[in-house]
Amino acid sequence: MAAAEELTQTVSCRVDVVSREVDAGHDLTIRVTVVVSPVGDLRGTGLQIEDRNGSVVENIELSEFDGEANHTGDVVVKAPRMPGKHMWRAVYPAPTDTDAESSGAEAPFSFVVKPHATRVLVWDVPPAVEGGERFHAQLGVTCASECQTQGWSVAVHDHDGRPQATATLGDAPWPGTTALYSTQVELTAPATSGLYAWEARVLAHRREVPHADGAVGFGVRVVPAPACRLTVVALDAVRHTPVRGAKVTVHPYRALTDEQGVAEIRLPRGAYRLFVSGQNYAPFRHDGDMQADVTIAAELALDRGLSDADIWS
Amino acid sequence: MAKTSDTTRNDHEPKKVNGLSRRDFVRTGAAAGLGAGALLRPDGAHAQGREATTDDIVWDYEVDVVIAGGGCAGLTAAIRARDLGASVLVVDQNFDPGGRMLHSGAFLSLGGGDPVQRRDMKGESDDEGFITVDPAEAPEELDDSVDLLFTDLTDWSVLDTKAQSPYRYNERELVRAWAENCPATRQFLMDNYVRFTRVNGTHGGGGLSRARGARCFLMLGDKTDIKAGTITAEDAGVADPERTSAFAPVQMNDASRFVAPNAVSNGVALSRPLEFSAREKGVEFMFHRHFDELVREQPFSGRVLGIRAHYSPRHHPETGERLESYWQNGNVEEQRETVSIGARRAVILASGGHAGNPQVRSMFYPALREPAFPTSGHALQGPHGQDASALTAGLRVGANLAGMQQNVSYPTTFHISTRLGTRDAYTTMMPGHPTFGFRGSAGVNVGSAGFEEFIAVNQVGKRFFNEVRLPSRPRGNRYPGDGGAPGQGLAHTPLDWRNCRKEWVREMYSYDHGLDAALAINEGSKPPDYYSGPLWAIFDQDAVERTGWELWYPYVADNGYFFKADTIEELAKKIVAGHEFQRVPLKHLARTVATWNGYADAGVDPEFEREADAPMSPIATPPFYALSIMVIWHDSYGGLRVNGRQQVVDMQGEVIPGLFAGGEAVGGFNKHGLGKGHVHGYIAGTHAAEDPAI
Repeated sequence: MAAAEELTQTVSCRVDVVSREVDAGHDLTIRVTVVVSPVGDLRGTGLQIEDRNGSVVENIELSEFDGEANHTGDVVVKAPRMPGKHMWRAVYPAPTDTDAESSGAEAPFSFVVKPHATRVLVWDVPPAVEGGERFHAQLGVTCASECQTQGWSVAVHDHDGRPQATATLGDAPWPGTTALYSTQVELTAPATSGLYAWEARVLAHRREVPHADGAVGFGVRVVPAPACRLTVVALDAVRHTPVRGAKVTVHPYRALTDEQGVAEIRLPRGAYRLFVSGQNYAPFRHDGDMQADVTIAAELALDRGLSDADIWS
Repeated sequence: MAKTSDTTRNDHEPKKVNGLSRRDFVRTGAAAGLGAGALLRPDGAHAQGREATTDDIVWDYEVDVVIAGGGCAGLTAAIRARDLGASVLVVDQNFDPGGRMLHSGAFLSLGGGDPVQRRDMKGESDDEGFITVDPAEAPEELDDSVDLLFTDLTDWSVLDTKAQSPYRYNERELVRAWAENCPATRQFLMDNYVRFTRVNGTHGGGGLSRARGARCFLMLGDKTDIKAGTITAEDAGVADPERTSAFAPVQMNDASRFVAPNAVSNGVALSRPLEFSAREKGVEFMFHRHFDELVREQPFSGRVLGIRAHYSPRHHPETGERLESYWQNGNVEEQRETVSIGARRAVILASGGHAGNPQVRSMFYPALREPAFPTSGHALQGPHGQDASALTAGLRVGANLAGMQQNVSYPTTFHISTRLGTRDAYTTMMPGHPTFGFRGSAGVNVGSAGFEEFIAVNQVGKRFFNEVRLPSRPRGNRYPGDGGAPGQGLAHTPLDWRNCRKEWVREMYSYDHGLDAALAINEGSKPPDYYSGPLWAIFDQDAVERTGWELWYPYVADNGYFFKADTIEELAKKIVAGHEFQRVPLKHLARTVATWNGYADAGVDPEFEREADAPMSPIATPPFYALSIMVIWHDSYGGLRVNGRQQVVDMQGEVIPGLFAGGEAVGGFNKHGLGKGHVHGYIAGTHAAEDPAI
């Protein structure tokens, strides 16, 4: 009588990482494949995902069998918060409930944890300020991974790197945004005319999740003291009625017309180009040379929209 | 019309054995009381299963005239042929007739001394007395003739502001026949419940010498009554600024300037009356059925005997129920996958052009193979609209082509819309019509002036042109000749060499190539097609507050054509994740915005010289927005070659017996829109009905 043939099972394991880079503390998606020889359907059996210390991060299960290999499908595990390269492994333990001799299998895999990207925004900076003038600007910070940034400290540094202001982000998102927390800062313009490159930075934030340093540059345009007043009266070219809310622009100076269609801009002497536009009016343009106070009636042609005949002329 | 049941088909098998030729068999049918003009019912009561000369053909239906497409050419041809005694079946891929006509502006440029020109010359009102305003044009500007119309539309000397020659390549026989039939077609339309406003100007391609265009109108009333010429405000889509109706996919316009108070106008006032008349007269319709191919006795010879068409149901985007036509009388319900329909007298191809088929249209402009940009009326017409079905079928039976180059010689065949935030950017559709869900948003019409409020970027997030020049369009090949001819209006002298003197052309040339820059290859363009990708208007909250743009439903929606985000970087990510044709990251967007803000601050745009045209505003105040900018290819001007009877002509110059075509299915006539299609339909319907029966 022949001796009974000993049954030996060979097991191999593979891990596919869907994205090798993941934000700290965010979801990491992996797929684990286990192949046994002879071929076997292992659905329902479990694996462990272990970190570099051998601690079990997640228990997962083989859920798919394609006739050759067993798969978990997409499995989401939490990435660590520590930035840098991480080496984990999937462990398929040796089965204990079969007659087959099997040693189980394991597969290492790696991924990179990134600190959360931080976006710093600066807005409502006046387009032109006079030398030494105090002005306000709005600073906001948002985390690309949707962390709450309220309470973070921010600072403004001038063109020489000197701190100009510090502030703490408020508790409510800026209107219309989901997670942009902001604050207003008061700043002082340099004394001399010119365009200055300043910077807003995140100074400090809660450190439970690492964030990349955030900073953004913005311009402060210092202009000479004005010498003349440009008064614009915006009128509808056909009805001769005032146009309220029209944009009056003499780069970099800007204003909007009031209820009477009037806006004033104080300018230094010299050549200028005026645009009056907006509110569904085609731009009105006027080039001039400012030597004294001037009033310009801007007759605005309505952007009447194209008729069918216009379009298909 | 006969639907051949299996039983009746068996009754007439096998044709090969008894040796009946197709003509023999028709005579047999006629002897049984099934002569031309008799509509054989789909219940099989008068079914005539029979074969053509090609023995394997068994007709599922049979009529005198089969018309592929129920738009301006198809409906007109159907009524005309029916008036002349033919039985008529219109096969349409959509669920409701009208084609582009239904969503059009219904501006119909005819002329040649047509009835509304004559009416307005005399200062008369319309027969029903709806029109109370004075004529919009002086009598001398309406004093037209067929000869002048023909001369205008074949005038070799005219160049437009794009330096294109709109008239010189027109097929002379085709245009002559068209001109001769304009007056009769205008009267025909009026006889079928279509009311015309005062004449005012012409449509593109309608000539430079006279005013020839009038709009179609209905009067607001307590009841929608085509015979009485009235429509309710609800049906007209004017009761609620944010709602239209199943009757009117596009809200109707105020036409009081050219009619009287309470007059409304657009394609509804043209399409619905014609449909009403067609159904009243016994024209039958088979919807949800896409015309696929022609059946000819031999592949490239003999008579065209009929068509094959497949079931192409359209379903409601929310409920999933099959969409049904507004009116039902005369509909033939048929859900078999493919049916063969025999035509005893003629087949008329009126299934539109090829603007909805990026593969076909790309032969004229390869960059427009980009599928992100649809043709107009995409939601209403569905995926098979303007898909080159007539062109394809015609070529398969040996038809010739005409005027293919005229696709690109019409100045505004393709253009950039000022309506942002919707894929269907040509029209103003609102919720209330069952196809609104296919577009999801009405879009925000920012006008040309609105283009100064944003930067326009391509699929990689780079600016590509001076934004404020993107929506500008060349003009000038129509009356009053305000760009394409020396002088104005009546000062135009036809056939004068000075019209195209190069000094004059240099002076009047006015074309911004922003559209071409928008379609240019960029870093995200990959072989083999090098798609240029979608275009985006990027702006900030300040722009919204300056303009008051309607960034809420139904103007915008979460449909992949509008995005809002806290930062520019997040905006770029949302576009990539949410837009069906955004194939690559907008990797330059943040840098582009930063650069732009520098330009806005300095008042100088070294890349595109915006400072010459309009002010520049920074994009800095959150939240940030993206609205899609759409390139639209509207018309087709190249197509099948036809003669003056609208008979399709083959590559040897011979008429293909039994086959007619009209509207955008044909080429050789560089005239925009309805005026061409209706007259083609009138001519085709006339001659198709007179074609000898087989």
